[in-house]
Amino acid sequence: MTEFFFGLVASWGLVGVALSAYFSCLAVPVPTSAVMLAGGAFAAAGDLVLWQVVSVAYIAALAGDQTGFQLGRLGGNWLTKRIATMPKRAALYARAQDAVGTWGGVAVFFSTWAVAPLGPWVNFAAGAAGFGVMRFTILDAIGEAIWVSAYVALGYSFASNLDALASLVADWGGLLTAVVVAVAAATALARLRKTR
Amino acid sequence: MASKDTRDPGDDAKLLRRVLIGVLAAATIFIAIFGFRAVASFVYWQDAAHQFQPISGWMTPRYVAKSWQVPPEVVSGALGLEMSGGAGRSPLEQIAEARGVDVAAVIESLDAAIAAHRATRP
Repeated sequence: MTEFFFGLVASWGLVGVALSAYFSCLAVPVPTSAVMLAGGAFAAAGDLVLWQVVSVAYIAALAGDQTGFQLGRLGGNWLTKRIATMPKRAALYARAQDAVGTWGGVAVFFSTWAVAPLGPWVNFAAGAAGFGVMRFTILDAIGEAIWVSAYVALGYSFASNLDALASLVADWGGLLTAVVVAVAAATALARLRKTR
Repeated sequence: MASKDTRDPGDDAKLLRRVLIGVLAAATIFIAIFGFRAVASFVYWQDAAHQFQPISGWMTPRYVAKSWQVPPEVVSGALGLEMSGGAGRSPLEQIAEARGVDVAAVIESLDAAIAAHRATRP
């Protein structure tokens, strides 16, 4: 499966990198981590140029995140109009918006790299809940810089066995995501108990 | 269990609590699965036997040279391919297709050339 995406980068080069970085930010299930690693590895081999891989991946990821965020905003506006007539739901929605106001920054930042699989959903949710455009853009830009540079650098440094590297990174990335989600859920549970 | 007729903020908190416990349980299962896989892939990664990656159709000539740590000339020589400048950036699959040969034959010739190169410098 991942070999198909290695091949995509091999034959399409930067276009393959850009497309997968963009669409993975919109919840299209592309193994982007493998694509970023391949971009770095092909740069190390001399087929691609490192700074071009990094810039293209970075710009495409930012564009993808902004697209998801704007889609979320559209959905949010529609939702606000619809539930204005339903006080109970409106109150719930207002509380959700409050939560996003408090925790949204943390979620946006970490979902770009540490919890990357949740990234697209956090972008939609942040947009829908009316998270500030400026804050979103800044936190997203910092987070994506970490994500893109880390993955491309790993691919560049350990280019010789891309297959083993991709599964290594995918498994550790999955573990990191699961740990972060578990810690977040446990923390929220503890806070909930305190407030009662 | 509270009666379903009374919908006070306590019910919301209860629902949130249940959702969070569900999320925590699911995340714990994923920690177990990915923890196991992470250790397994780390062991595989560390194993010297897997230091080199079998040549495959998606690889480019330069990538083969990088992966097998041989000079690019070994690869370009085996393929009879110009690799200077921007040339020779297609994957082996496309190179084989353009020549109307089986990709397995291309891989075989590369394996042989790399083995021969290694034999000259132990």
